Amino acid sequence: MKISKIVVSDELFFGLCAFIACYVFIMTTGIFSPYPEGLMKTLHNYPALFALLVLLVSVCTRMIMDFRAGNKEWIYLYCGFIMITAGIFVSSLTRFEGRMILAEGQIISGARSDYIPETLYLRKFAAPPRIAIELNRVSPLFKKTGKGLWYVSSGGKYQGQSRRGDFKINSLVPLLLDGTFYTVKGFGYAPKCFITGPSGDVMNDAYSIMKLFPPDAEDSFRLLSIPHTFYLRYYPEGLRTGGASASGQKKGPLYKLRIAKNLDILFNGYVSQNENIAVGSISVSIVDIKKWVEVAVVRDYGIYLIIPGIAIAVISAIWGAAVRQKMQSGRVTA
Amino acid sequence: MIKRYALIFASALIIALVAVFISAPGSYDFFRFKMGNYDIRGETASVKDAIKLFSASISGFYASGGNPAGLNMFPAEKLIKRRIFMDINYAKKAGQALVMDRDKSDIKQITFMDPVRAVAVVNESWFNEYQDYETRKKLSNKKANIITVRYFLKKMWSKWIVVEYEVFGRDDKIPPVPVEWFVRI
Repeated sequence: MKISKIVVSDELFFGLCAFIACYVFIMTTGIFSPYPEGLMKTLHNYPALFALLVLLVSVCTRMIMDFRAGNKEWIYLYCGFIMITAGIFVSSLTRFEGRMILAEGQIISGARSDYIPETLYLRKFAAPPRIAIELNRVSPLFKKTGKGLWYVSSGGKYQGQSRRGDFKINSLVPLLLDGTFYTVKGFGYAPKCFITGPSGDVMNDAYSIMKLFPPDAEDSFRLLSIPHTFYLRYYPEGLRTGGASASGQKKGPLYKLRIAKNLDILFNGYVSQNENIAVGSISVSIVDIKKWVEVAVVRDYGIYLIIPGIAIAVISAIWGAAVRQKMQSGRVTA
Repeated sequence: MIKRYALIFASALIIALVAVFISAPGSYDFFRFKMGNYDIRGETASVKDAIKLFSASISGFYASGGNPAGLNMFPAEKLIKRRIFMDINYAKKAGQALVMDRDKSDIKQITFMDPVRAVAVVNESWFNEYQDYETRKKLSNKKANIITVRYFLKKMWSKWIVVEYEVFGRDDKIPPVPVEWFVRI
C-alpha cells in the first residue's frame, strides 16, 4: 500500500482520533496518573501533539485530494479541523495559566511573583498579562446552611497596557479583559492577627490568607521568628448549635484559636474579635478580617483559532450532511 | 468492518496507556498502587517506625537541651527541625530546658494517598516539665499534654519522612485532609 493511501485512510484517521481521545481521557480523569491534568495541558504533551501533527497531515492531504476531485462539500469541515489543530499548536507555545489570591483592598501589579508559584503554567512564548488590579469588594452568595456557596462576585479597578477602568469578575462566567480570561475559583477569609512579643514588640500585624470557609474549615499560619503554630477556624455568625457552652456563651463572629508550640498545645479555645490572649511570652488578638478570592488567569492565543474552528466544523458538518442527504433524495426522485 | 475498527480502537487504547506511562512521571507506580500491587503491610510498618523515631528524637533533642546527635536520622523536613531547635534555644537562653516524656502513643489510622504519600492520625500523651538548664532542678510541675497529631509523610529516598504535622486537642474535630496535600508536594 502506498504511503499516500495510508495517510488518507479512514483507519489511520480513526486510530489517531481514538488515541487522542483515550490519552486525553486517561490524563484528565487521573485514573492511571497521580494527578488529573487539564484538557489543554494534556493536549500540549508530546504524544498528543505528535498524533495531532500526523492527523493534520492526513486531513490536509484529504482536503487537497477532495478539492482536486471537485468534491467540495467537506471543505469547510476540513478548514474547521485545521483551525482547531493549528489552535492547539499555537496554544502549546503561548498559553499562560496562573492563580492569584486577591483580598479586599489589595493592589497587585500583575508581576509573576503575584501568582501562586505551583499554579503557574507558562509555555515557551508565554508571559503574565501586564495588568495592575485593585480589588475593592468581594460579594459571596451563601447557601442557606451557610456551609456552601452559590456564587462569588468581586470587582475593582484595573489598568492594562492600553486602557483602564472598572471590572467585575465572578465564579460562573469568565471575564475577557485585554485578551485574558479571569474567573473566580475560590473564596476565603484573611484575618489580621496582632501578635506581640515579650517586650511588647510587634511580631505580626498582617492579614494572613487562610482557607477558613466553610465555617468548620481549619487553616494555620506560622511566623519565622517563633516556633508557634496558630490554627484558626472562623464562625461569622457565631456557633449555631451545640457549641454555645464550648464558646463560653460568646456571641457574634467567633474564632476557634489553637496555639501549639511543636507538640505542645498552649491555648485551645474560642475567642471574639479584639479579645487579647496571652500565651507564655506572646499575646495574640484578631483585630480584623477581610474576604479574599482566588482568581484564575488564562491567556491563550490558540483559543482564538480553536473556538471559531469548532464553530465552523460543527456548522459545516451539519450543512454538509444536509446537502448530501438532499442530493441522495434528488437522485432517488430522478 | 466493526471488528477491524474495534481492533484499531484497542490498539489506540494500549498505545495511549503506554504514552501516559512515559509522559506522566510516577504514573506506572500509581497504576500498580491502584491495582493493589502495593506492600501495604510493609509500608504501614515503615510509617509506624518513622513516627516512633520522630517522637523519640523530639524527646531526645529536648531532654539533651539541643544536642544535635541523631539529627541526620531524624525523619523530618528541615523546617520542622528548625522549629524544634528554635524552641530549645529560646528555652536555653532563658536558662530552662523542656523535658518531654512520651506516655502513650496510639496510631489510630494510616491512609496512603498514593505510593509515596501517607497521612497518619496518632493519639499521643506526653508529660512536659521545665527544668533548670544547668542544674536540672525542677522549675514546674509535670503537665499532661494529651493531643492528637496528624502526620503528613512522604517517602523520599526509600524512607518515610514527616513533612508536616498538625496538633489537635483530643476533643477537637479533625478536619478533612486539605486538598493542597494532594498537589502540594
